[in-house]
Amino acid sequence: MMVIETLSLINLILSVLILAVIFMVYSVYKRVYLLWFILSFSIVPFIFAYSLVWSPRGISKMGVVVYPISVIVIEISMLIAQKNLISSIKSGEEEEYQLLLRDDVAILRGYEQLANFFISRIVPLIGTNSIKELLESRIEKYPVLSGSYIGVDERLNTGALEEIVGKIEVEELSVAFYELISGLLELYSAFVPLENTVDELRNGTGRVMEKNVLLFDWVVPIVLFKTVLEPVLRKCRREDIMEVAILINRSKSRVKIDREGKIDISELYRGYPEKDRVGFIIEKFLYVLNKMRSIVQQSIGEENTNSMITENFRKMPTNIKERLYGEGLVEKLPNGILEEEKVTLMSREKLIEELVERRKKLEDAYRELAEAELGKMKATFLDVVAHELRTPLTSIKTYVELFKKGKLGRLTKTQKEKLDIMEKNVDKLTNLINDMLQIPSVDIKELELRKEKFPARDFIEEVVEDCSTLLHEKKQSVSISVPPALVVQGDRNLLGKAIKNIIGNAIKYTSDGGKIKIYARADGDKVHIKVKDNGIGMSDDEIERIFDPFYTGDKKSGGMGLGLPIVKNIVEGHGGRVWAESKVGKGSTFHLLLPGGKND
Amino acid sequence: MEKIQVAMLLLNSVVVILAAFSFYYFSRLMKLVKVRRGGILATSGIFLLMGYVFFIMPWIAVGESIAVMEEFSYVLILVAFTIMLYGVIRIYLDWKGAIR
Repeated sequence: MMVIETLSLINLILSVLILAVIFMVYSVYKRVYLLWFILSFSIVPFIFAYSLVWSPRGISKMGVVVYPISVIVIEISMLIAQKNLISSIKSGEEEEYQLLLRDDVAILRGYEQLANFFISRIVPLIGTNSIKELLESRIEKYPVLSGSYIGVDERLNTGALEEIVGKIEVEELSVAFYELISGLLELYSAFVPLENTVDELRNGTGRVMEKNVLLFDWVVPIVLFKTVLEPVLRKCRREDIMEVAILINRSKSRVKIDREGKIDISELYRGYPEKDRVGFIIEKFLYVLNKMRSIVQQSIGEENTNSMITENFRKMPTNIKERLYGEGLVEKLPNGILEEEKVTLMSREKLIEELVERRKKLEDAYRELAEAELGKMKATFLDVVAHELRTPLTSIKTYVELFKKGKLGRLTKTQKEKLDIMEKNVDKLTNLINDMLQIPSVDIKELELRKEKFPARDFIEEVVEDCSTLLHEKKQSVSISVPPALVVQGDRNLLGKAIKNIIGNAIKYTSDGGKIKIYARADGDKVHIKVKDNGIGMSDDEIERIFDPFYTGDKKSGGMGLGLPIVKNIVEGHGGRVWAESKVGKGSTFHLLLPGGKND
Repeated sequence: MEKIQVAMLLLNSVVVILAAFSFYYFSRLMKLVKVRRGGILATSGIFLLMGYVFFIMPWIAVGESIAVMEEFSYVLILVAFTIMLYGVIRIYLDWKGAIR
């Protein structure tokens, strides 16, 4: 019994899941027949729940009748659902038509609708007899049409074909229907002017296509040849038509033209490609158009030909026209045809390109603006913070000095020692704040006032001298190679600070007894200074970031990572450039390109 | 023949007639509708029918349940439901994609 209970439970769960999915289908596609399916299937979980309850005790003889009765109810609901679905498809409305109907049935119905469109135009003129005769003759020629008939409602009925459509080639069906529709067009044109017949053909195809987009591939040859080319050809002189007919009929285009200028495209449907049918038809159409154009132009004039073809294109139903233009037909048409449309399409493409370019520029500008704003905000923030910190620090330092001088009472030895440490840290903090204040860009206007020319060699030697204590401590040697005539132009104080910073770093990251070399040479109107050490070096990743504020890398230097950003600000403020080269374990070289000048 | 056997025979003849109608409509539908998962649903339908036949047959033949056949029928129905669940999920995904 356990096995049956387990199986019942699994089946119960599965049936609930199936029911849930059908309900989900209904939620995206609300149709009555789906409700019937839901109703019929909703009984199933109850059957298994019933089995689950009765299994341990065994189903009683009367209890078992529940099963066939439930199945009968399910089957009845299922039948109603199926009938509903069939009538819903038959009505051919909205998505039902596109979503559910088989492609070949949809195409067959499309042809039927197109034929009925013309039958409804012809019947009031001559009744149904001629149409019936036409249909019979076509059935004789094309047995694929067998079973279709003109009903009492005076409409073509292809219900019998629907039953076997799966066994018929769509190409075969298309040839047969093309012949039938051509016959109907001929019948109609016997009573109305050719222009009206062509207009009705445009209307008919446009209307059928609205509901049945699948028909497009099969109707497009009719539209292109019968509504664009044929009306123009039939305006030509008889001898010119004959000339065109000989030219085209002998070609490999598979298009035939008779002496009256009627175009027969039935052969095009035979061997219709499975993919890119529209491309194939456009190619054939352009071939025929180009071949016949010169003869037609001789007959009715170049301007006339172009304007008639253009006019015929423009009269096409919008839905067909849009799809054809979308396939790139317009661009391939010879000069003089649909010129305005070509310009519009071209300018549309150009417009899109320009819009894309403008958008890119706008995005770049926005990004730059955002970065600039952020930089400005950072600078203001640092400025405010630094100033707010400096004021209390000045006060602390003053009191420390007063304490140390004994102005505020006598101090013990330990207190003095602690005050020394305190003073040292206050100085350290003050230096840091001073550095932070230099992070914002150097004020160029102020800098201009402080600019001077000075010999590079003296200037570098002075800076090295400033660092001598550190150099002695680490027993490092410095060699300076600077031509005596080389002159640097700028704020001596600021540039000194920048060079000192770089030399300081070189000393810091070079081991005891290491060597530091400083070179300088003229580079155009600039002075190129190189500070080279044989220290620990940096990785490429570090080099990229060393000029970012507060970047300290992996080294435990104890600094705040403000030295090099300050150097960068000072050098760039002078219109110069600073960069670094390095190899891990082999040392680093810092390059400074500073404004130079001649010694006065 | 016991009463239950007669009752089951009568009720199931209705089931068979309705199933025949259902099959007729289903084949008509398949001629019109491009339900690509129609084959999956039909397969699950066959398994479901077989499951029902195995379940009901002992009741018609001997007037009571045979445990082995009942178990087998439940297994067949389980297979049918698994296939059907796969089919309806695929239909849901197809239609959802097509409608949106």
